[in-house]
Amino acid sequence: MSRMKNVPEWVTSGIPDNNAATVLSWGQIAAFLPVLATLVILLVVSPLTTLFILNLVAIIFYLIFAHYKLVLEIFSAAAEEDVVYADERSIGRWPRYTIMVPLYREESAVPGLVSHLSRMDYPADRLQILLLVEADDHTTRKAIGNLPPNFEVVEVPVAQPRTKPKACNYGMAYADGEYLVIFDAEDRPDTDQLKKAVRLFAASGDDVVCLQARLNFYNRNRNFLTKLFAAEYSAWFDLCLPGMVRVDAPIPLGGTSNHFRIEALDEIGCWDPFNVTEDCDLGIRIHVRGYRTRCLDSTTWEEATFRVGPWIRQRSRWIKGYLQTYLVHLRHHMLLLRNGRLSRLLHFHLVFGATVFCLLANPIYWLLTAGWFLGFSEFLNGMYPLWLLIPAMTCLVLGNAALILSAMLACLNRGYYHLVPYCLLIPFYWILMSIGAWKGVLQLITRPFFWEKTPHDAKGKLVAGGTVTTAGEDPNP
Amino acid sequence: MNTQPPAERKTGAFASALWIAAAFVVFSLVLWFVHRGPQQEDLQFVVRAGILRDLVAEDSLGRQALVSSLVVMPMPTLVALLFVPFVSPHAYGLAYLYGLAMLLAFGILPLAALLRRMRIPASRAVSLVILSVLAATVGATSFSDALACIAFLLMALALDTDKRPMLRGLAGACYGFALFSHPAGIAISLLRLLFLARHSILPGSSGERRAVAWIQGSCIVYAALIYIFLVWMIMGSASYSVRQTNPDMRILLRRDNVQHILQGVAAAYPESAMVVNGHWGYLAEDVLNSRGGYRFIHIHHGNVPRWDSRPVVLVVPKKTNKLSVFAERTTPGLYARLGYLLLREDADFSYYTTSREGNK
Repeated sequence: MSRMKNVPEWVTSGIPDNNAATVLSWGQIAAFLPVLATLVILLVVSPLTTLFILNLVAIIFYLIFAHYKLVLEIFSAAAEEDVVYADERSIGRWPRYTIMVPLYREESAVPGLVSHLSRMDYPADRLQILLLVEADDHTTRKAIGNLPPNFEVVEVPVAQPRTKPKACNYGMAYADGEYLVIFDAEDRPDTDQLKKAVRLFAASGDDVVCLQARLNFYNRNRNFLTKLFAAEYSAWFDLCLPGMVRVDAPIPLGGTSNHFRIEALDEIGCWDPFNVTEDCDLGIRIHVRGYRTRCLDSTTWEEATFRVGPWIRQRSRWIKGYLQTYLVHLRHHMLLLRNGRLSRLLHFHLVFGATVFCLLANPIYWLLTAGWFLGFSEFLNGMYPLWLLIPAMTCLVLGNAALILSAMLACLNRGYYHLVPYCLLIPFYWILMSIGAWKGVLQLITRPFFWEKTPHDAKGKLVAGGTVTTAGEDPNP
Repeated sequence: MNTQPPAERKTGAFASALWIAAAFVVFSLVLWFVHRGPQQEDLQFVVRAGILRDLVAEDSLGRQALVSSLVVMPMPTLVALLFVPFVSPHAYGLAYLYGLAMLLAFGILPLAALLRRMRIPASRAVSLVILSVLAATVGATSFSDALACIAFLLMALALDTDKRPMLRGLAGACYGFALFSHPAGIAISLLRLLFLARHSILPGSSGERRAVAWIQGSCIVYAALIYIFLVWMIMGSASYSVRQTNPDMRILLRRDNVQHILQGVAAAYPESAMVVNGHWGYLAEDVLNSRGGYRFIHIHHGNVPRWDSRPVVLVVPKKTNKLSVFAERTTPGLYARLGYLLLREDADFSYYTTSREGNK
C-alpha cells in the first residue's frame, strides 16, 4: 500500500542548493575569463613557447591519469576479495523495497520491463514498483495495460526541465520502502539483485548508503558498436569501479541499478533535476556528506545503443553531464576535503576533470601524430625535446596499449571470449567517444539542460540464467 | 571464497613491498660489487652507460644506439633512465645496474610463487638467494642485460601458470617486455607466439584458452611492431637492427682489455682523427676523447666534421675479433663506395683512411 509523504515543492524545492541550474557561477566566470584572456595573449605574443608549455602540461596530465587508471585496476583486482554478504538466514523479514522506473516514450519497452520485474526474486508483498510516466506521454501509458498488484503508475506533471531526475524526485513522494533502486525501461537486472542488495547493506556499516550494481548489455553481439560498448562497460564496472570504492574515491553512479537507503537519500536531497547525469552528481554528494558507495556483485543487463547517431547523442549527454557535475562541485570542491584527505580531492579531479580533458584532447594529439607521419616532423620535433619525447611516447605506446589490454582482460573476466579480438579495434571507438565529448561540450553552452533521449527497442525475453535474448541473439555466445 | 580478513591482506601487501625493496638493495650491491672498478666493467655496462650519456645530452647517437642492434635491446637502457637523475654523469653505468636490480627485484615474488607451487619452503628467501647468485654470475659477463629478460620471463611464467585467466592474459605484457630486453627474449616470445597460434586453431580449444592466446599473442605482436617502428623511425630501415646483429655469442672481452688494445691503435696513428662505427664506439670512448676522435653508430658520408683537417683513420674490428659483435656490420665494398681506402690490417682490426674530399 503506498503512502503519500509530504510532497516536496515542485522541481526546485528540496534539491541541493549547489545544482546544475547554474552552468557557471559568477565566481567561476570571474576566474575563468582572466585565464582565457592570458592564454590568448600568450599565444599571440609567444605562440611556440606557449604551445610548448601547454603540450608539457598535457603530457604530464596524461601520464598521471594513465598511472591513476592502472592503480585503480590493481585495487579493483584486490577489492574483489573484500566483498562480504550477510547470510540470507540472518535477514529475517525482508525489508520493504521500492523500485522506481522513470519512463518517457518507452511504449515498446514496457511489456518486457513489467514481465521481468514481475519475476524478481523478492517477496511480492514487500516490493513496491513505481512506473513514473510523464502526464503527456499517452502512448507509454496506453502500453502499460494491466499491472500486477505491487505495481503503481505515478503520473509526473509536465514541467521543465524534462529530465529523468525530475521525475525521480517526484516519485520519491510515493516511495514507501526502506530501500530504493532505480532501473531504466530496458533494464533486465539479475533476478536476485534485490536480495543481494539487502544482504550487502546488512553486512555494511550505516555509512554505506548506496550500492552500484554492474551494468552490461544483453545485445552486445548485435554489431561492432555494441561489442565495444560491452568491452568498455566491462572494463569500467568490473575493473575500475571496485578500485575506486577501495580507494574511497567519489563514485560516479551508473544512472541505473543504484540501490539506496531511502532515509539517507532524502537527507542528501535526492537528485539534481537540472543535471543530465544526475547519477554522477549524486555519487559525489553522497561522498561529500561522508557516506559511502559500494559495488554490488550483481549485473543489470541493458540494451546497448546500437546505432552510431543515437550512441553519439547518448555519449554527448554523459560528457555534458560530467562537465556539469564537475563545474557544480568545483564551486565548493573543498567540501571534498572531508577529514582533511587530499586524496579525495585528487580523485574528484582525476575522475571527472581528467576524463573530460582526455576525451577532448585526444583528437588534437591524433592529428599531431598524423601530422608527424605526413611530413610535419620538423616542427613537431621542436615541440618534443628528448626529455619530453620519451614520456610522450610512453603515453602513446604504453598508455594506449594498457587501455586496450584492460578491455581485453575485462572481456576475458566476463567470459566474453569472442569479444577479446574486437578490443584491438577500440581506438576507433575512442574516436566516437571524442566526437560525443565535443558535442556534449558544445551543447553545454547552447542547450545545457536538454536531455538527449536514447531510443530503446527492448523487446527482450528473459531466458534461463537471467540473460535476455531478442530474436536472433545468442544469449550464451 | 576469501577467508583472510582485510587486515591480514594489508599486512601481506606491506611485507611484499618490503621484500621487493630489500631485494633491490641486495641486487644493487651484488651488481655493484661485480662491476667495482673500471677493470671489472663488462661491455654491456660500458655501452649502456655511453648510451645514457648520449640520451641525456640529446645526442642523436643515443637514440640510434638504442635500436641499431639486437645485441643492445632498448629495455635495460630505458629502465635505467629512471635512475639517471640520482647518479652523477660519470656514473651512468650505476643507473644501468640499478635498473637491472629493480627489474630483478620485481621478479622475486613471481619466482617465489613458482617455488611455492613446487612446495619449496621459505620461497622468498630462496628466491632472493637464487637471483643474487644469478646477478653475481650473469651480471659479471657481457650478457648482464639478460638479467632484465630473465626478470620479465619469471613474471610471465608465474602469471602464465596461474589458474586465473586474467592473470594468464596479463602474462602477455611480460612476454612483450622480455622481447624488448634481450635477443633471448625475442626468441622465447616468438616461440610462445607460435605456440599460441597453434592453440588458437586447434579444435577443442576452449573459448577461454583461445581468448588468453589472443591476449598474449596481441601483446607479443604489439611489442614486436613497436620495436620495428622505432628502428624504422630512427635508423630509416625497419630491418636495420636485424641486419646489424652479429650472432657471435662468445664471451667478450672486459673493458680493460679493450682499452689496452685501443691505446695501441691510437699510438700507431698519433696525428690522425680516429673514427669508429657501431656500439663499440662506447668502449673506445675514453681513447677517442683523449685523441679527439669520433664515434658513430652508422657510417656514412660526412660523419667527420669539415673543420677537422686531420687525416681520418677508420678502425673496424675484423670478424674474428670479439668486438665485432658490437661493430656495425657492413656490406662488402661499402667502405670503398664511401671513399675509404684500406690502409692495413692486423689480426684484430682493419684500418681505413680517406681523403678529406671524401668527407665532403
